[in-house]
Amino acid sequence: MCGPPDFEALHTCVTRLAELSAAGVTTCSVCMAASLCRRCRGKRGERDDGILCDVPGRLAVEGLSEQPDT
Amino acid sequence: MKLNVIRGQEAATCAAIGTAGALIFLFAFPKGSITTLVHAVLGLPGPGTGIALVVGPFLILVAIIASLLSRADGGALVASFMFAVAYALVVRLLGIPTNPKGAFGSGWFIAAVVAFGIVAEATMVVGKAVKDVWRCMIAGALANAVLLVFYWMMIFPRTYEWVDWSDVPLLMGLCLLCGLASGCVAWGISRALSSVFALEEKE
Repeated sequence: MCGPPDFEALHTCVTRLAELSAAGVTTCSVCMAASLCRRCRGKRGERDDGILCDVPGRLAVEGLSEQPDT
Repeated sequence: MKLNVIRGQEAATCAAIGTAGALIFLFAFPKGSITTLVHAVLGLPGPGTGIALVVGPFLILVAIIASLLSRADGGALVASFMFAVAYALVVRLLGIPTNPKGAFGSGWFIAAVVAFGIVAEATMVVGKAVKDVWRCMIAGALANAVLLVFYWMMIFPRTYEWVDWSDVPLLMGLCLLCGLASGCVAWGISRALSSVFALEEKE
């Protein structure tokens, strides 16, 4: 081995690796959560639009089905 | 075999990954930490243990992630080359101390990393028929072995000493194992990253 062991450097290395790993995992989780949130919101918006579009049709159908009873 | 050669934006992405890798490596592994870990803590013989266990596997992560994310031929080579150049530039410009045994930041270091990149790239291109995870693992093992042999033949005899022949089987075995493991980890990370990017693109 060249030179004496430097445990201070090894300690710094382990600390920095832990910090980098934590930062990486946090960033990745936040990105994934944000993407999923936006995707869910987009889907809900599409579904609401679909329900609103169907309203006149559904009312008409309900009206037709109620006519014979009256 | 049809080649999908890397182009402007993909090359820039791979170069950025290589540069970021060099900066992270410089930040995470201060002078003396790798030598202390492999020789004083793990009690392994040398020279070359630090290359086989730490430097090589880290380079595999950088090169294979760049290759898989760019999905173009040449990504691993560009990322490796930029890693070496960025490392050399930062070390020289900022005067960061490095272990003279490894010749980090020198011309020989750049040559070793380029040889590593060529082997990683060639394996990734040739092994396209193989399942992705196996291709990454084989590329990692072969590239790590080439880096270690390059160091043994070209760098350590100049900066330190020749490797003892009796240590070669142990060190080469560890080198191949670490290369396989690092290739597998690189595949897992790039899969996670590409799923995040795919979600972003869908939006």
